[in-house]
Amino acid sequence: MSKREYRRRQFLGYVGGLAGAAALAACGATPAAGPAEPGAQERVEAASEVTLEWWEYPMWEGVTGQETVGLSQDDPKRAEFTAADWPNWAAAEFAKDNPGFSAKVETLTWDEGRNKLTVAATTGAGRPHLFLEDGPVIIKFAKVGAMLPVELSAEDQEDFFPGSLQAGSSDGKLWYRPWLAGSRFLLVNRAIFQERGVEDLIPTEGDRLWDFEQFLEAALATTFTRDSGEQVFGYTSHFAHSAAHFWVDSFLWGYGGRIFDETGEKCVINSPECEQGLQLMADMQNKHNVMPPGSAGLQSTNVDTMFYQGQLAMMLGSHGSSRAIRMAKEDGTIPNPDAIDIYPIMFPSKLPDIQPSVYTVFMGFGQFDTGTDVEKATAARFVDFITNTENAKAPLAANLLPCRKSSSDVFEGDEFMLYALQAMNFGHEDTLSPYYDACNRILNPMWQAILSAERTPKEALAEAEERCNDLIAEIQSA
Amino acid sequence: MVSSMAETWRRHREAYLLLALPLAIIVIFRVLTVGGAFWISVVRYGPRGAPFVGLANYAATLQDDLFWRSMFNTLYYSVGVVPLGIAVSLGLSQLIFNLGRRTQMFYKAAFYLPMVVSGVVMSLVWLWMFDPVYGLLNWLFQQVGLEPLLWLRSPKTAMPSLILMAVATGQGASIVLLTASMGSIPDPLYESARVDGANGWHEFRHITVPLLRPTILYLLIMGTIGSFQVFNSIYVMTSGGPYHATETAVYLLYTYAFQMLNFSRASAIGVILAVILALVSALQYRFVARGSVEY
Amino acid sequence: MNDSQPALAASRNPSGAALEPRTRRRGRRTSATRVIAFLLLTLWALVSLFPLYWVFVTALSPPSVVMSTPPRLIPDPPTLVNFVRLFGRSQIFGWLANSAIVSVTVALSNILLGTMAGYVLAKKRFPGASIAFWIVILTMMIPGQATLVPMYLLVNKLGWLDSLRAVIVPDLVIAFSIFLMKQYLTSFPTEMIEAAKLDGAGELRILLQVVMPVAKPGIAVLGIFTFVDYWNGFFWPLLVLSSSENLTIQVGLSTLRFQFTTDFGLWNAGAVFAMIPVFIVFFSFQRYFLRGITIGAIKG
Repeated sequence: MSKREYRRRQFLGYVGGLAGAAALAACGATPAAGPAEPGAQERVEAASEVTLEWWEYPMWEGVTGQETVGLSQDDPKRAEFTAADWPNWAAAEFAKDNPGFSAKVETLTWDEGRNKLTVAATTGAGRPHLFLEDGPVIIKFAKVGAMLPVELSAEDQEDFFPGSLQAGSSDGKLWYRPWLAGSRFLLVNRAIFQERGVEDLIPTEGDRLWDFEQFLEAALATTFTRDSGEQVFGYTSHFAHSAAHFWVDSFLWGYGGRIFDETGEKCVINSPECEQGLQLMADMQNKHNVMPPGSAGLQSTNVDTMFYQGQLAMMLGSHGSSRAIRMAKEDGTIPNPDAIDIYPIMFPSKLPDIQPSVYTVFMGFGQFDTGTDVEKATAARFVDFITNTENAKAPLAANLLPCRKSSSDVFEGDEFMLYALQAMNFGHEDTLSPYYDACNRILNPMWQAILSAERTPKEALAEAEERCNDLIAEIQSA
Repeated sequence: MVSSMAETWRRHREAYLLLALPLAIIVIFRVLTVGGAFWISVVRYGPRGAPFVGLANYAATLQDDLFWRSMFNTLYYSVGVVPLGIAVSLGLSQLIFNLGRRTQMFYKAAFYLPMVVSGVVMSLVWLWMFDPVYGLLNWLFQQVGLEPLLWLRSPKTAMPSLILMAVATGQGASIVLLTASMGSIPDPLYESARVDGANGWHEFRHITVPLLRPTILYLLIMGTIGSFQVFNSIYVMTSGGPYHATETAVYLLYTYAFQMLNFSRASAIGVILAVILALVSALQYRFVARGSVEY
Repeated sequence: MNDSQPALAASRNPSGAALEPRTRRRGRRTSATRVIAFLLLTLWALVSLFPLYWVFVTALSPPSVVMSTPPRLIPDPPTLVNFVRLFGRSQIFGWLANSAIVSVTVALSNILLGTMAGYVLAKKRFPGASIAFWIVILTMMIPGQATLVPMYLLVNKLGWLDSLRAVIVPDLVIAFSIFLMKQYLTSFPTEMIEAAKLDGAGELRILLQVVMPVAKPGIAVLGIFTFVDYWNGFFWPLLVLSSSENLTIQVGLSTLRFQFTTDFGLWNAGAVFAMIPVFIVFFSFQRYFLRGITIGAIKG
């Protein structure tokens, strides 16, 4: 239990810290003393004309994201709002105190934006001044020398969740200013549980914990064929993209397994605990048949489609799920809104001995090593500004979680988002290993092999551990 | 020496001048960048300098099990797609060719038009068709009493599924070409064969196919280049899985470059692939081109 | 940068009059085999056309129907809502214009320069000819992903990042075009060239006034291939173009996707809209294109 406490501190600070944060945030909201408001002398420095290039993924339309709520898809007014609204607004706000400042905002694509950043990082050509990315990606860029390190004030150091700072640190330096966080958990379609009369199988108390037996029981109870011949499955999630670790890792951790040792530099995945988790996964596919056939090749769109159609009782959920489902209901992508009733719960674990763990992600603004000194300095102050307590609340427009304790009071009354924030407490230090990303490239195909019965969990884990450690050695020597 | 060069220039001036611009563009943008790729493969490439490492990237690539797996997959795909594709387009062309002119045009358009759909859209549609539970193909299988397959979702059937898709939808250009070439075969050849009592199959086998050899060779070489470099469908549909079953050489190259930021290893894979491809093309040229002209 | 197209190319027509092959009924067929042939062709054509059809159906369907399983094969009720949303919310006409500039320039330039080089390599014998030919061929062997970084650096050196030049200039002529036209023009009747020469025409005039008019089918094939290829081009334009006013249609459409949502209706409306110009080009030239071109010489 003490270990769990430690882990919570790692990611969010004390839970009590969260409640206290609300008061702090109230201070930050008063216009007089915004914590990261640029100082007076810095303002003078930026009096010259500076235009920064800013690459941003499309997150939400409008400045607050509320502008489009209730506007139907075919309302021409909808077209007035774009994903560049908030970035442009933020740049204009900053320019009020920094005459001559402007930002050129370019919208990246979710599918390929990272490739574009990668080429800019690696070649040194065509780099924007600032961009938003995952911590591990920014560290990868830092490792090839493409990034500028970030200095945090003592207050900021205290205010950002520890996990968010760790996720962007390597070689003793911080490489981004944390801006938003995301968690993963299970998403249940209560309507299917009701249809089967087994709603009591869903845990609802406290952190909504349950063990693997209860989870399997729920999956079995919700795998059935409707009178129409339509097949419904208890659980699955995507495997085809290199993101299966979003949920497979929870199976390993839930039995007490670890991917890396305490240092994060050695892969120790070949353990009986991990084997148990993977064996359950394999059995769900091949023995209990609660997963659709061939889950090894499922893409996330396949999974979403099944869920939207009411053909899947449980899947991987995230901070973004409630918004995605709401939008899908609004624009009619979900054909029968009554058939979808979402409820977030925790991944199972081997209770009471072992608490569950979930995948967490932190994103922040990184600064490429590019441009003149004035541009670099201006970019640093601008990034300070857009990650300050008030602006750190902006991403809630897209149901993203803040990385600051002082910005965490924004989900009052939104039960789903409060649970998503709560789930951040169950982050696991494996995800903070600098080799987590690289090793997943080896691990994901192994999970596919287990699901398609090409490898037993034991064989897969032995091979995976060896190859991961080879890869770590290779990266370290380079 | 100088005078003979001057003489050459004088005699072929117009040819050189016409070739100058196209060749300059090819040299600047292609030869130069191929050279660049080779350079990246012998250094450790990064934005802060690129130390020379000799053949280390090649050595590492050749010791990488995954590289050999990807080469096997690449060959598997090519050997599946190219000959099968040519056989299918030959067959369809033969069927089309016997139709009236209008109908011919209709079918050719039907086979070619899908190629104007962007690859991503095409792949998404096929993803649905391949879906083991809700897809069209298993539904058809069930109608005729066949066992449903997992298609893209099993390491065993993923590659054959990709091959099936490529063969089923990728023949438009080949058909346009083959039917045109069939039209160039002089009638008297068939008439005299008929006098000798040849049947349709004999005509096809002993007149049509041999005379189409230049076209077939062209399809073979271009098809091999295309299939050796297959990327889009794998990128969109399988990401190289399940369990590396569809991880081809170019997809591996892509993951090295963009997921591991190791552009040098990626370039080494590209260079090795290019050398193998050049050798394969040369072999095809040698064995299929014998007897045919103008290559 | 583009996936190599499985492609076409050329021949000496025994008649020597033109490069247009004839069509002809051949073979004696019973009605039974004829029916089977028709069935087979029609079935295959359906398989082939289905994705195209599905894109249209989803573009014309309300969003809820798009993802339903089993899918509805008829838009019910048909709606233009996806198109309304598409036009409302994007700079789609600007993107279309950019794509048109890129595709038309690249196609025309490849027709001109590809024919120029193809003609010289096919019809002229001079020192260095085969070296030039093999240089062209070998550049096709290396996958585009491997030359991506050098190409990006080169384009950056030239100051072309975030400019359509980066997409157009490197591909003003590609190896594929030269190879195709060389194979095709090999069978061009030499007598016509000789006759024009006797009339005192220079090579450039011969090319423009004698060769190109006769080589229309080959030019149509090359033009359609390159136009379609560059119209659908995605990866390279995405890397080098950034400002939303500079994007091509395929890249622009992809920026309309938000995380965690896949708006198939909007997306397919974009796909359909993006296809219209390609259809126009295709049907304008299909008269030449579908007749096809023959490769190499067929000896009677």
